[in-house]
Amino acid sequence: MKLRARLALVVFATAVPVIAGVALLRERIQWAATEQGLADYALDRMQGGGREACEANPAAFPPRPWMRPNERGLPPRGLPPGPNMPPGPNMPPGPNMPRGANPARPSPDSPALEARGFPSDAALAVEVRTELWAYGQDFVSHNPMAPTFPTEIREALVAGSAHASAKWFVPSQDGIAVGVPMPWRDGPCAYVLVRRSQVEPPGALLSMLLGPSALLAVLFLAMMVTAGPVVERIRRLTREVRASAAARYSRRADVSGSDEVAELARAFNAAATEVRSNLEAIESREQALRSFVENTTHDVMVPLTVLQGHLTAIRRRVEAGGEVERATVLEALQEAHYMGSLIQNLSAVARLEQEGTTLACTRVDLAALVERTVARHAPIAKARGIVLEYAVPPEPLAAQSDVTLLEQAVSNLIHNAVRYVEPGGHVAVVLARAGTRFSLRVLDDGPGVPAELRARVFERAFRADSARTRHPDGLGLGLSIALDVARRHGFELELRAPEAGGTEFELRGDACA
Amino acid sequence: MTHRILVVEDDARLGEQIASHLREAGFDPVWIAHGDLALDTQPRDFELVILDLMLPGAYGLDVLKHMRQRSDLPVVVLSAKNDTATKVRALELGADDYVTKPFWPEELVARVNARLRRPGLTRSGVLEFGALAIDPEARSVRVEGAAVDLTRVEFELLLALARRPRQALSRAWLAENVLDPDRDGTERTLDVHTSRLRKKLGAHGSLVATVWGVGYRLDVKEPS
Repeated sequence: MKLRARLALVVFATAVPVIAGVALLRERIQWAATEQGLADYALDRMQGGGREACEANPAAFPPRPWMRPNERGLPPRGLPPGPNMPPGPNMPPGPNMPRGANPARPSPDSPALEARGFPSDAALAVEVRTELWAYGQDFVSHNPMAPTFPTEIREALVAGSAHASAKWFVPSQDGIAVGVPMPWRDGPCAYVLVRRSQVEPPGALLSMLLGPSALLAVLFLAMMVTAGPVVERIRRLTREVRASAAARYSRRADVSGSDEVAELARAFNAAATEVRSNLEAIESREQALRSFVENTTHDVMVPLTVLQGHLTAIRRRVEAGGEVERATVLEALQEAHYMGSLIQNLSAVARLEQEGTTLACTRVDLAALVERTVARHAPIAKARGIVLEYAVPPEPLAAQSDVTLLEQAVSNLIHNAVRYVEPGGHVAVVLARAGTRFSLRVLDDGPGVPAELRARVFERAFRADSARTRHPDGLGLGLSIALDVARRHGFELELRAPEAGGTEFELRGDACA
Repeated sequence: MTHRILVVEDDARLGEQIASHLREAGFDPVWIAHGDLALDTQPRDFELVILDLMLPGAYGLDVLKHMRQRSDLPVVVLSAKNDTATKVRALELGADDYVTKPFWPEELVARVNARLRRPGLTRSGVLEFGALAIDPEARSVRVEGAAVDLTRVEFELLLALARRPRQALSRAWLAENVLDPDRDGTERTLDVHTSRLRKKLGAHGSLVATVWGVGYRLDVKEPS
């Protein structure tokens, strides 16, 4: 439902009961006024000669029981006026005179009134009349034409009311009957019943509805006029929100004003900012992923090409019936090994560089980790003629760590040593407990790291693309990953140059109890 | 005696290759390509299982769980998914070891051997390695049947190495656990004791091997 329609509904829903209540109240007041007027009329008439006429001949009183309400003591058309008909302005007010504060309604023959739209009596389809009947103390009339005194009224009068009224049901009309006790309280005219048919003039219903309808119309118009700017503000905000969404939330909605619409606009702007920043984060992640895939592809293609070259050389040798050179096979093996490590390192980098990455730490058996890692590099070490040895303590030794990342870090240290030690050289991995801590050393008797490069090994912040050139000095992606992994675990990784030469890396951290 | 090994690997080339390498290494491998088939095997027919975690049909971890419910057969898991959660889950479910792809055939064989290595050497009982016999109870050592007189430190050193044959022990660990704590406990002292031990073992002194950068190891042959 549209906003305006909803507002209109609200207006109707509130106005209709109010109007109905007012109409009901007005009817009540009119009833009471009519009752009072008729009671006064009865008293006037009885005191103004009526009593005498009644007591003189109760069976024929009143001689003419009904009269036109607009009569001013004059006989209605074609009817002679009763001798006891009091003259003067003692006509009761009636509900059929809706605008009638003045009970003495002027003659409908008055052209002035007719000209103002009041219907003349001749126009009334139903006779409007007032009747008056006299009753004795026992509420029985001597006049045989008199109606039975209404029980309801009788009961109220016996209970002591000054006068009482009830509905008088006249065919196709609603009437009022008023019972009035006479001050003399005895004789055949102790009580008087005045009845009056109440007929709404044909315009009465219309005019009764006209007022509220006009009021409703005014309310509705006022609502439309006042709701207009609000509806327009909402429509404008809708357009702005659509435009902002179309512009990938880079445009802001206008927030002028301090009403709820401005509040809504502000809320939208806050949401749009959030969406925008999420979009940017996703885009940058996508960009990072794309460049990661590109770099990985590049990084893997180089060793793969070298490997293909070696395999081709081997094939040519075999086809030519020659001996396959051991060195070629060894290089092919190394290249494949390097490629495997590289891919695992790139995947580790992808994990480490991912924002908000958390370590999946569990209790890791360090001896098993060392055995696994050494086993991974043992075939290559053996092929290169390098002695790769390790020692782990017989007692269990564990550390809280992410097993994949820690293994990759240790693997990188070992791989680094195995690659750069000369054939015939040694690489040793020693795991030991030192109090509440563990110490994992990887040492070799290779050429060692030049002093000027030693600091740089640990200084450098690595990125995926730093692996794109294979450093001839061996300080590539692997060591920076090892350091990053150590730091994230709260471990220390230290590079030493032993006096005897070679290289020693030591990883230290808290051991599990 | 050849060890029967169940290989559950969905990739035909890799499964074939693993089986072939294990055969060359002296094992008796049975290769099946489908995880659901693995559920039907009898664990008691095998001495070790090599299980690929990325299997079609039954997922590798489910196969592992199922196997663990039926036996405590050693399981070495193969994983191309180098993520911690899968490994930790596999170890929690009772895998004994894992090998990440890519791996070298020797690497896999080494892992299998490590798993099959019996921890059968009890604390008590005589440890025998060819000509060398060590009696921990009597604290006596015989070489080719002849008693060798060792000092307390020399005996402890030999016993420590003999308890973990073919595995190196670091000098630091030996110095801490073998040397008399009340006296000089440096690694230099350990070296002195070691060379004395070698001399006393005579022709078999070379069994106590020096491991570069690490320490010492008892270089005895794998019992066949």
